[in-house]
Amino acid sequence: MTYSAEISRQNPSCFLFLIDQSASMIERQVPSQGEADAPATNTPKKTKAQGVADAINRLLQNLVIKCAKSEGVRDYYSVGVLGYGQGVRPAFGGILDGRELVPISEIANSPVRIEERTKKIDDGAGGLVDQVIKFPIWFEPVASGGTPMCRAFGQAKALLETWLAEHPDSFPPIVISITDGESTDGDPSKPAQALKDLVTSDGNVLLFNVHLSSRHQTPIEFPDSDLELPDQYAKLLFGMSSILPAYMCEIAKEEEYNVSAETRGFVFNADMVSVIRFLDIGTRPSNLR
Amino acid sequence: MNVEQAAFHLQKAGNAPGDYEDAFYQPSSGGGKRRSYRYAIADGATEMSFSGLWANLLVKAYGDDRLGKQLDPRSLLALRQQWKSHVEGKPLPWYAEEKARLGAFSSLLGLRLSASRAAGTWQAIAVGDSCLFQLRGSEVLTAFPLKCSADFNNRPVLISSNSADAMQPRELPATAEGQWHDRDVFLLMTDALACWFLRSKEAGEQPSELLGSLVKGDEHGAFPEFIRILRTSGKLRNDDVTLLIVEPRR
Repeated sequence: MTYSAEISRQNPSCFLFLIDQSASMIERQVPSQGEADAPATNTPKKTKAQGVADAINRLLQNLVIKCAKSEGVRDYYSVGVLGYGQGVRPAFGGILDGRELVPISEIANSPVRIEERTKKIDDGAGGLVDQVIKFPIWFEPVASGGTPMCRAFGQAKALLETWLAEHPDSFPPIVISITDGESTDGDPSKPAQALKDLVTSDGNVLLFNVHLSSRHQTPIEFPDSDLELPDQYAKLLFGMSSILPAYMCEIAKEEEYNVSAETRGFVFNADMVSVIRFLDIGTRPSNLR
Repeated sequence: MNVEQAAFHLQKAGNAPGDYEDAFYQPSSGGGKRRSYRYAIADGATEMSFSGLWANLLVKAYGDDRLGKQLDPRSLLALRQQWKSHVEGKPLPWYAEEKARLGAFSSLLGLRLSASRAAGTWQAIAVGDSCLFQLRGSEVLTAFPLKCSADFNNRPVLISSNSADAMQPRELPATAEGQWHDRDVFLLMTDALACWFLRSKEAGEQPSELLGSLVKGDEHGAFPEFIRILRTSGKLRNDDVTLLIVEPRR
């Protein structure tokens, strides 16, 4: 139970994203920090639904780039996205419509569209220059229906049980839930715990939570207690989140996050793209910017 | 002076030979007499793309004595332009374009051996975690740049193909130099094998004897089996492996 299994094409791992598409996501949120590649047309306050779409698109973009090599994308991960609002169902559209777990290479080649966004980068001579980067879109904002979070965790568990039966020794799946935390079908703590109780020989399933809130609050990343969290939803999601495995903590420390042995995979009004950098699929230069 | 030299390499288990992203340079004719010999190995970072190409450009440039004693920035710039023109010379899907924009990264370890009537001397440069060992009998006279197995991790400082990531002070190459005697042996290893070598020494074992037997055996058959056994036993991390063995004589 060490989270040390090699992630390779022969022994892939799994990512499952749960995205809240309920009606409450129509509310506007405080803009996230660090979204350097946000579109120029972005309004100061976007809806939580837009926040969810941005978050999942950025996570998928970074995961695909992580697995990209000169010859193409290596299938280090199978990836699923479950949306919940009007029911609970696989959320991919286009040619991936209805698919539950998809090899990352297929996701790479199936965005709905690709936008071009501008990002400031170091010019190597002490200045900044604009660079156009390609930003693929897989998900558009959706906000309708209730928030059946308990059912979503239950469906995630069923999906992962099937995957785990075929991959008993793989690096454990990572589930990232993106929500405002306002479940309408009961307390999600128990189904979340049932999900985390699933195991491979290398460790338990990891559950990380991204909390998008309408409240004005400084973004909080990877806290190790709930003392600074602003409301009961944030405290609930923090409590449901897995403690970061030791190897992730080490990398987080190197990236100057203030982490401890109690740090959990939870962010409040912030993105979780950094988790993709915490994944170990081989040598990563420490001077990569 | 002349040398006996041997090169061994193997891709990560589970990968195709074409996925090998280390690189090495050795003179084409080790048997002839020369005043100096140059050797290099490099380890392209797995997580980046076009790393094998970058590693190959670096070892070739060192072998051709185009990098100077401290990795001359102008020479590196020329290599970066070479890498960039190769990568940008073909249409890429969005993810490959974004990945290439991040650049390729590689370690580099270079060794120059020379001899005068008075003595044999060596100079080495290193960026990253590829290692040089100088052996005299079973004694390790030099371990460079890393000294113990605990020094290895999966996040070394490496040479970037991006000018924007050009050498910062902490990324300047480490250098070392010394003298050699006849029957000394130099071993150049990429990180996984170097880490095993140091760990074995720390445990009181004689890994140099195991490696020495490779030279006497079948070069092409013995090495993959030797590596397979180490990997299977959990003693060697699954990674591309490169080993150069050089024995200079005056």
